[in-house]
Order: sequence, then structure tokens, then C-alpha cells
Amino acid sequence: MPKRQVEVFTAGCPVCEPTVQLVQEMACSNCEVTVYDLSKEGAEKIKEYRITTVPAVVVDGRLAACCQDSGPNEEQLRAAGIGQAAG
Amino acid sequence: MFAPSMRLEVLYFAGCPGHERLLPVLRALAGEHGIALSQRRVDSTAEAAQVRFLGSPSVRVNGVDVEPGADQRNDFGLKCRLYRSSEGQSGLPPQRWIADALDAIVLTIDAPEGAAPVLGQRTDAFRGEPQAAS
Repeated sequence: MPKRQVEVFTAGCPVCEPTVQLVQEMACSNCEVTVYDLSKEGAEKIKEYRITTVPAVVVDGRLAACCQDSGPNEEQLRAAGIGQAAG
Repeated sequence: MFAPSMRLEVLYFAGCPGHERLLPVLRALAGEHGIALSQRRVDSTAEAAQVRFLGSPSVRVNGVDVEPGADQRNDFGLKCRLYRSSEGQSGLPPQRWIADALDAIVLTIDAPEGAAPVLGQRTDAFRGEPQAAS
């Protein structure tokens, strides 16, 4: 079964940490979570996914509907597929 | 040069410390243009929506965001903003955008009566190179 790829983008900012923690808590055993600190890496992916703010979460190559207010919440992340096996 | 009708403002929130790196640049530009720099901290999602806050830091000249196309966005909230330009990606807006926005306002103030563009209605072309689409 293919793993669900979850990418979390941060910038070493205090507001980003809760999102990283939330994603890691929600991730199922079939999720592969990668965290990018944009101050060190991930510039090409930012361009590819058209990310304009952080924290941001990408699930299987698709930017999750998030960050409309204080950052991704559990409901939004679950809707994006985190915590569920890859389809 | 003194332009009392110009306003340079930076909006930020405490979760993104990056705006502090921008302050020396903004202070220098404000000094060059003889204007004051104001800072506004945004503390809640409600306030973010009210002031159309696209993330920290956001820089506005006479109330207009210096990023080309920013007026088309509505993803307001408490988050850290990323900027892409021909210079690459950064957590701060390119200094050129800010300088161009200030210069555009100065040109408008100095322009003959009836000349376009109208103050506060700058266009991407007027500010220089637009942001890359991808």
C-alpha cells in the first residue's frame, strides 16, 4: 500500500510549531511526514506548490486548505487526508 | 524630499519575528523619503480579517500592499508571509518593491494635475517587474 506523503513547511517561527506537532500527532502509521524549515531547505517545493504563507501542509502533492486564520487545524488536516491510509 | 501625504506602514504579528529584520530597511527608506514609519501589530484572526492582513510582515505604502497582485488575495490570517520575486524567495518583501512603491507615490504627487496614475492606485507595470507566475 502506498504511503501518504505529508509535507509540513515552516520557517522556524513560533506560530509554526503547533502545526508540526499537530500533524505528527495525527499522522497514521501509513503517513510519511517530512518537515521543511524554509530557512534551510525546501525553496523549490515552495515554488512548486505555490505556497505563500507558512505554516503550510501539503498532502500527496496537494496544498491543504489551510492557513485561512491562525494555521491549519485538525479538521482541515483530516479533510486533507492526514490520519487516513492513502487511497 | 518631503512628502507629508505618504504613509509607510508595516503590519506584523508576534508569531513571526521576521519583521524585525525589515525595520532597518524601512527606517532607511522612510528617512530617504522624509516620511514616518508606523508599525501595527495584529493580534487576532478577527483583526487580521478587518485589516486584510496577509501575513507577517506586510508592508503598505498609503495603504496599498507593496506586493504586486496582493489586492487580489483574501487569505487573511495570523501567519508568516513568503515573498517570491525575480530575486528568489524570502520571508521579507524585496526592498525594490518598497522603494518602487514609494517612488510611484512621489511621482504621482509631483505629476501635473489630471495625470495618471491616480494616487493610491498604482499598477504592477508602474511598480516595475511583476511577480513571476510560477
